[in-house]
Amino acid sequence: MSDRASDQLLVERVKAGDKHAFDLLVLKYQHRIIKLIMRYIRDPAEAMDVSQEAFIKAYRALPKFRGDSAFYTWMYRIAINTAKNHIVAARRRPLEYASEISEPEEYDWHTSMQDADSPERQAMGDDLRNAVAETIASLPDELRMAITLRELDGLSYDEIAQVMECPVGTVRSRIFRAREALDNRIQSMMDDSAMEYPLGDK
Amino acid sequence: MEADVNRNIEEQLSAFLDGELPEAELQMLIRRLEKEENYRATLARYTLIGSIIRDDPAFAETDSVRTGVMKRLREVDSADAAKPDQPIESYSPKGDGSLNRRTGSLLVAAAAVLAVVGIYQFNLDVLPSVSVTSTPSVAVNLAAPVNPPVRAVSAPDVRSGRINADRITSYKVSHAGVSRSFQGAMVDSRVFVRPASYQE
Repeated sequence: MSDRASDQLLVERVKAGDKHAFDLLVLKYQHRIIKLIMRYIRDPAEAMDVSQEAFIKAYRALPKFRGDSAFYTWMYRIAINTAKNHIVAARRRPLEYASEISEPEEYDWHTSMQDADSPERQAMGDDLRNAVAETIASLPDELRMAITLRELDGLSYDEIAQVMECPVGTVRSRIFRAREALDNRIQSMMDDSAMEYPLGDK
Repeated sequence: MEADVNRNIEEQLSAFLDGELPEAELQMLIRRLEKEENYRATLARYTLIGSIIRDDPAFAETDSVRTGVMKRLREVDSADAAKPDQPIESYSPKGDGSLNRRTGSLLVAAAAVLAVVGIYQFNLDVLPSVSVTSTPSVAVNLAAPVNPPVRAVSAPDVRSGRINADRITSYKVSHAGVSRSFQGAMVDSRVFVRPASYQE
């Protein structure tokens, strides 16, 4: 089943009143939507609020969603409009903001995050990044290739299967095993960081 | 054995995240995800891993977006539940079904009461024990889109079988407009204007 078909199934369940299905859609796309909104709104906390607003708007508008486009495409448009409306409402001219981030590809996300983040969160973020990088480097070649082709290049399982010259089922298994190894690593880190970086302490 | 089952499910989660899960597995997985928070947490970690690999910003607290969204949707639900007289237009046709079930129950109840009231018009002995109050309140609920100006006759008079004609008359006057707005209900405003039928 394709991504679009999978999302459409969830959309139909939401229309039938299943909020858990919407929870899954949010879970799947919240990272991408935040990243998109941060092209317009630098402050991470503000971007999170606007992202929430965008998802709420999408939920309310879902009864009218016909499925002519993919859910993510539709969500993408809502997110951009919500971000722009937020900027206008905050009395910032969109033109000014656009000039600040005229080259979004060159925008230094991490500097922006570090400017806004607390030291504890920055440290935890750095630790997570390092742990993920180390774990990926330690993976067997076939697992590392499968997970990076998927996450970084966005290839489908079929495409990865062609690249790696193996069955689709093997691709699915390899990607899962890579995620499993990474998950085990970050879980242990999160357990440790809960002790080292207690949230809320000043 | 259980570890194998968990692992199978986690593999499904991984494929689901990539949009690569066959439909048959997808349906079962969605049902499982609805019930079991630990699998949703695993899915959240898998999306976090992807976000870290892609070097996305703000990944450390991204899940707060999801928790915030769901909290607001629950608040909306609670607010809606506290207001039973919502406009029917605000619910989608394939909504939660509770409005349809409620409306269906009210229609059945209304039909039963109307049948009895209809008999009452022919002065049958059973009629004095009929709760005239139930007819208007049920009928008004049929016209749910507006807040009904219900001022029903008090029950004790009905229970004792003695109906206060003056109070019935004032009630009829206040509900004449509402009775005409019923949709599809077999209600005629003439039902409420037969003073000769009432007994003190």
